[in-house]
Amino acid sequence: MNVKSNTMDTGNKKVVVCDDDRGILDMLEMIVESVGVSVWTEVDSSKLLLQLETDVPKLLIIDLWMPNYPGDAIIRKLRADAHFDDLYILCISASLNGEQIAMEAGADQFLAKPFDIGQILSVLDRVLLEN
Amino acid sequence: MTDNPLKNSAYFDDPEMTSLIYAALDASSTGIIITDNRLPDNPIIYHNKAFETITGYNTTEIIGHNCRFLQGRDRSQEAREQIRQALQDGEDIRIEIRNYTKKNDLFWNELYISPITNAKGEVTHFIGVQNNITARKKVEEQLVVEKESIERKVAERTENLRMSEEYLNSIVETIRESLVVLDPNLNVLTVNEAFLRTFKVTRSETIGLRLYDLGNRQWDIAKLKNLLEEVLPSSNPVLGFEVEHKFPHIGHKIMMLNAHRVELQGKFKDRILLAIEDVTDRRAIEKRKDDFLSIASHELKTPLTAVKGYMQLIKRFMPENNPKLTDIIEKSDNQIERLQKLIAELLDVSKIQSGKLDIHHDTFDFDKMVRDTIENIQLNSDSHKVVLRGETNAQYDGDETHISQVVGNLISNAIKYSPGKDRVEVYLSTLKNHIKFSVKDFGFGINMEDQKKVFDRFYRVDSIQKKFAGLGVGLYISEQIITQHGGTIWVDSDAGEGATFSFILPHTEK
Repeated sequence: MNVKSNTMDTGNKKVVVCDDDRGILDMLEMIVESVGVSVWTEVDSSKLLLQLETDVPKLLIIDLWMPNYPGDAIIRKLRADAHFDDLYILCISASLNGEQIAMEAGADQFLAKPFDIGQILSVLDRVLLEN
Repeated sequence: MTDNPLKNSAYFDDPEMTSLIYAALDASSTGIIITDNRLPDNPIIYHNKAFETITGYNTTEIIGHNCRFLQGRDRSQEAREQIRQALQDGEDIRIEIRNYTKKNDLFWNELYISPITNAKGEVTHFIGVQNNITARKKVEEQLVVEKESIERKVAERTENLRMSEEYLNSIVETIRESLVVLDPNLNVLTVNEAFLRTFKVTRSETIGLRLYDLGNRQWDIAKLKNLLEEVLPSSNPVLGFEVEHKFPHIGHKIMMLNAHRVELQGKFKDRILLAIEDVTDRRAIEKRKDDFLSIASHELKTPLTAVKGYMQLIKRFMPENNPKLTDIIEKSDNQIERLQKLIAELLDVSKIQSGKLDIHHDTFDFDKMVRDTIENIQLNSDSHKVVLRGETNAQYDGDETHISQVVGNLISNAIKYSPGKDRVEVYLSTLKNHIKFSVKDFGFGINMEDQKKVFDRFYRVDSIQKKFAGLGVGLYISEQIITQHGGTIWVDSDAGEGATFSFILPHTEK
């Protein structure tokens, strides 16, 4: 599919974004939507796993520092579950040692905040075009 | 003295011999006089040349006078009394007496006086023999002074030593660090008060025991053991060894250990001084600071991330051909960029402060890094042309990101502080085992006083404070980065004639 087209893929949720900061969450949602990919957002990390179980996305964009359930713990949990083998995990964080934590937990890629939306777009391009 | 042997000799009547004897007397460097005791006031009737030389008087001032003129006004000497007594008794005397030359210069006279008696036993003459012993006297006096001074010094030193010992003891006892002295088998010889207080123990449950048997065997750590056992044979100190442990009486603590060989001979040879510092609180504060740093970093960057993203979204969704809006967005972007840099700088300073600025070492092409940095700067600044001269051709082993940060900072400064000019010059060169980077601007320069301070944290040159924005940490960070790479950074400038910032880094081409 051509992610740059504005055709909305309303059926399957291709991208899930999880960040406890509303501002970032909305911004990322707009970025993903801007290239016509359906996106679902979650501000409460403790509800994320349940949602992912029912509907596995292609890409998960996830923050590290979140109340209730930290991002790295979620990533570890997902990586231990064969059900999510095809899930591409992009970790975004403003933490000083975020990259190390994310990669050790099993993320596929890490972007430090503040990132350029171009960096997000290229990940979308790459991951969603793979299939 | 008995009769003059010459008196009865055959030579006495021989005029040639007499003149020879006179000549011999004149050739002597010892002053010789003869007085006639039969005449009133015992006047001098003969003197040789040396007497004139020693006293400075001439014949007319000597012959016929009593010897006392030699004492000048210094009449109350005890030596005079002794001489008088000897003369009266008609006895030999050897005495040291203060005499004065005609010019009134003091000289010490070692005087021999011999009476000459006639057949009746009457003293008819005295012979005086004089030697100027001023120099010897001076040396003797000096010796006395020096001896006294040495004695005084010895006394002072002894007192000082005693005081030093007390002083050292009081330091040892008041110092907050716990101190333990160990013998070569790591048995405890002594401990100070701080040790007893810190670990809430008594001397009797400490002294004489092996270090490892103290408390609940808190020091029985294989690694520490190895290090301590090496202190005496190798003289290598143990530095900053941390022990985190649940100690008896005092609970969970972090203790930092330093151990040194006691560098003394004799009685105190082959001892280990172990200093133990409770760093529990310090570590807790450091951890809080680190936590604060992480939180501050996170909290400042989060809204920045959102704003930056939205600004870029606006750009995407913006209708074309709207130059006004394009301009506004670009300006906003620049401000966001600035904010991002400021946050990064603040974090760098905090990291440097807590010693957490990580320097990664990778080999990179130094010249390419400089070219890339310049290119990046030129993208955002077209007011100045950055001219690059020279090359290092170095495959440098260091932290590319941080060195690039320094290069960028120096070039940006050069541009920033030379408004109205159109160029800055960058020079690359290699020196013996070093590579050098310089950037020259043609701005208003930096006066001598400020040159020393520009690398200080939060320092901003007064005259530019209000004209140019900035936290005053860029050069501080740069210096720290260069220093951590083993290099140095400096500025050359004459006020009004621009400034040249340079750094060198150690580098040997493999």
